[in-house]
Amino acid sequence: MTRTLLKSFLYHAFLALLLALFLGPFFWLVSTSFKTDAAMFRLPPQWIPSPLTLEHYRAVFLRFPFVRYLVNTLIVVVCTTVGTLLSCSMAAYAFSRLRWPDRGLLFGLLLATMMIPHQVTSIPMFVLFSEFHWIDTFLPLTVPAFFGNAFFVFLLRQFFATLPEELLEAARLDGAGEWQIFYRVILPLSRPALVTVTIFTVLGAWNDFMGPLIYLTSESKRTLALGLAHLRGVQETEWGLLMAASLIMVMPAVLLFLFAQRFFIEGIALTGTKS
Amino acid sequence: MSLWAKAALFVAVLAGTAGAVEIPEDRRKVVFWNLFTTGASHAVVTELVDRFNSTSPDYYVEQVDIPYAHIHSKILPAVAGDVAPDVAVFDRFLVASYAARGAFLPLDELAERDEIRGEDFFRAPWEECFYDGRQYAVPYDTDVRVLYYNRALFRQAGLDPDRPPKTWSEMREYSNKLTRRREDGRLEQVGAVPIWGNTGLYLYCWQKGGRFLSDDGRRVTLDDPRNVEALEWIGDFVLEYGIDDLLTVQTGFGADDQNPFITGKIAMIVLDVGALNMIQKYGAALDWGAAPCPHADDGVPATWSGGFSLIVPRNARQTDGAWQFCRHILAEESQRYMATSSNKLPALLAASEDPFFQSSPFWRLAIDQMRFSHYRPISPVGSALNTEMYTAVDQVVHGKLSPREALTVATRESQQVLDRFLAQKGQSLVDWAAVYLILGAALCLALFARGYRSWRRLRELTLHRKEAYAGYLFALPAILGLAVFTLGPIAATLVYSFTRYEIITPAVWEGIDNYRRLFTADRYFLKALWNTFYFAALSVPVNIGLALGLALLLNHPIRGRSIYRTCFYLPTVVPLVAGSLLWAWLFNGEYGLINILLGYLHLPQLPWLTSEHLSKPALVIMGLWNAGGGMIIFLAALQGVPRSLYEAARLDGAGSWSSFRHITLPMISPAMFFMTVMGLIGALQVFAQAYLMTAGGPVNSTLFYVLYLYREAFQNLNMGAASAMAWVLFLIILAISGLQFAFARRWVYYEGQAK
Repeated sequence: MTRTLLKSFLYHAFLALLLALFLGPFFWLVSTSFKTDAAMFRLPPQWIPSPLTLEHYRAVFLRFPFVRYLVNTLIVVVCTTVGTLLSCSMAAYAFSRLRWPDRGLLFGLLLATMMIPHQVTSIPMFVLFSEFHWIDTFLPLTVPAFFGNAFFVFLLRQFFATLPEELLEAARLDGAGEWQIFYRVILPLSRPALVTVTIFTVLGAWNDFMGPLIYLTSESKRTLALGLAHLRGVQETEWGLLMAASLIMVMPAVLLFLFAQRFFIEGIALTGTKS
Repeated sequence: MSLWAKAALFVAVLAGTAGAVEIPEDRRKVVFWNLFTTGASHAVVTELVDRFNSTSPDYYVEQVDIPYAHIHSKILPAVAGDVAPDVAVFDRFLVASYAARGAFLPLDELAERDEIRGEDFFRAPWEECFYDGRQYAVPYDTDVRVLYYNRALFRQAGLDPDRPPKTWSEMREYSNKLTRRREDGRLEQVGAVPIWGNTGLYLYCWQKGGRFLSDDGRRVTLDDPRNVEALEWIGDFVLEYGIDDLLTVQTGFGADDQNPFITGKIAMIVLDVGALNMIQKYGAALDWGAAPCPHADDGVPATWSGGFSLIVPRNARQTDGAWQFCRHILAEESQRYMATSSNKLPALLAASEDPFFQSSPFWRLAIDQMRFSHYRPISPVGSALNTEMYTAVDQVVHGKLSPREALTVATRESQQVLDRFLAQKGQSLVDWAAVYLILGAALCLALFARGYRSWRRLRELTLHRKEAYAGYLFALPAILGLAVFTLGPIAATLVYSFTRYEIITPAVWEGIDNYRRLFTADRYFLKALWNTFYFAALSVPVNIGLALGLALLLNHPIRGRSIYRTCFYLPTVVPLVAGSLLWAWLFNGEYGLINILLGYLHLPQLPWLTSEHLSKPALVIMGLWNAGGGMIIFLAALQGVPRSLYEAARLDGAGSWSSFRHITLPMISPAMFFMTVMGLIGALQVFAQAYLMTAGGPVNSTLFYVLYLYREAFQNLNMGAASAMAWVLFLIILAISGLQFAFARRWVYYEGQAK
């Protein structure tokens, strides 16, 4: 009896220790962002900042065109998400529910491209977009999203394939065309999968660093991720400012995750087990 | 339909409102990239722009602040993408490298027209603006190196504070007297360390009379015996204190208020005159003095002037406006204001007559030292020379190579770069029209061959023909994307990899040279490859281990399981940029959480990101924070293992280890396989962490493959070499994944059928 109790205690203690290790960085992030510069460089360190200061947050809004960067990021996020949802669900429908001659070959090709490191394609894309005079616009970051993404096509195809054929047949008998079936039958039934794709796309675009780094030059066009990286470029490393800005950027991602946990976990599990 | 239409409208409105900047009335806009982003220098630039804008009738300068680290890496892509600014502040010593590649507009005709003459400027900053007989920049400011010394520490050590060292041997002798160790042997205070100031190897070489290039600029002479002697002196100096001891002291250096000279950790240091800003801000209590840089005992007085310049990119839209702004900056009033307000030396001689300079002994010393000032060698490969020299110093002080060896390597490396530049004329140009024609024809042929078959099959279909058309239509965007954004670029990368292609200059065919060079001549490539494999080999197993461990711990019906699961997964949604900045702070040598915790446990504090041995493990540890993603995959796999298997095993008398080994592991092997394949692909492409946290350092220990590729492609525009690297990476990933799939049959168990 005492042995199982002890075991259970140790088990929970161990989990709690792991939990502390995983959440510690978050704690340090929050704590540093509210510390004065003097308190930050004090040993032994303060765990709870005292005095509490908002000076770093003020600096973020003063020194950093935060609203502009947020708007830029949102433009990229919204366009990418709309484009990905549209093109990937359409392709997934074609690859799962329609029969046409080159389906197998093209789907195989598409799947094979998932393994390709994107550095192989990024150089000609840069050349192409410079020819188009698209450098320093949001187009290189958003337009490709309207042309499918192998991973999400695959994810959606797996889901669409599980929908019962009878529903589609019934719609066809009612005289619905393929677009109507897709739009009125498939999409409404696939809400969980679509939400999963949306979340991953939103988060991916929110966090994307290399794309903006390569394509954006003007200060007025930077996204949050790029703006944050530029803060690091200045001569003196201002940790308080960096932590405050980081926290601002982390919060939406964390909140999105907390609200939509179920879809994250399902999405991740889906990719790992059904491939 | 209406939903999509609304969404499209919304997006269009959003896109339309962004990036619009108002330009005052009828004046034309001149875009100006400024790299002074903080402090007095930033305020001064802003004021100079305001002054220009309030007086110029024709132009309006729009100032864009871009930090130093980014301005030089952004200029070539901006020129290539035709989004270059009209005028920009640029580090002067880099002007030649970029001018040689045709990035900048020559300014000599304009300068001649407006009688901007060399004799009105300090010699060093003026001459540094020229390349190959033409002027490509105008000087913005200048500086000069002097020796700063701590008078109070001199007194404590029994030295005369009015007699700073004049020669290298005096400096070393003083330094030994000024160095103090704690009881445990750790350094508490150092007299001087030649590698800590703002000197590079250059200063000491000049003081020895060493040369870096032959007179015609075609031969690199970094291995000049006088340079070797200079490096030997540095090496001996550092060796006496021990590089590890010095590094431990150095981890504490942070922002300016933590500068070792301010905190009294170093008694003598050579810095440029700009250090005055720091001393005035943080060193109010400091009793300090300045003196000429100590010279080599058998050498000549010499110091170093650097500084900034203004350049006009070759495809600037408002060249006249840009030049007007340059002239505004060169005007005596502007130079006077700029220099006196931000502790710089003006480039214009007349501005240095200001009482601000003439009434201060410090500034009189600085202006006097301009007589001896040198500037870094002007060469199309000037920035490569610079890098090689710093690398040579690194190698020597870390005991990797002798000074002679290090400089021989540096000479060889930079000579190769120079030879390549000199040889590029007269090779066969790439005719892009022909290339694209051939590629296009091949594509059409393939399409036709396959399309004909599909078309015949389509015609045979009667019942499903409409469905088949719909199939093509629905998949059309994805198929186009596949062709335009994936398959086409892969082919194009292959073509590029056989050329020397910089976008802004015509491409030439180079055959397999890029590949050959990667494996035989490019030291950084092999280093990057090694770093990347090392990182992948360490991070993938450790990550999978932790993910599996977490999943096993949580695969019990315990209280609060979903909370644990959420918390362990949470770090994976943190943006990599924010995560990297956070971990850079956590790993900070003195004030970072990790070393603080190690201190509590009475473990040694480690110089995580500043040590070449710990930097990769540090990034691996950071990667562990993201083990939650793998944990979810393993949890899902574990839930799929039928309970009945465990029951049966228990009846057969199997223990928990044995059922883990013989049931759990085989049953979750598909998840394990997925994690290994994807984990390796991801680890081989590690980039952002290294870019943001260590910038590839220290000593290139985090120069990862994709970071190196990024620099080659998007900072230096070496598209040919970078394309070859991309293809090599592609082949490596293909080979590794192929091997994994081949071996998978042996250990991956799929329930039901083998896939």
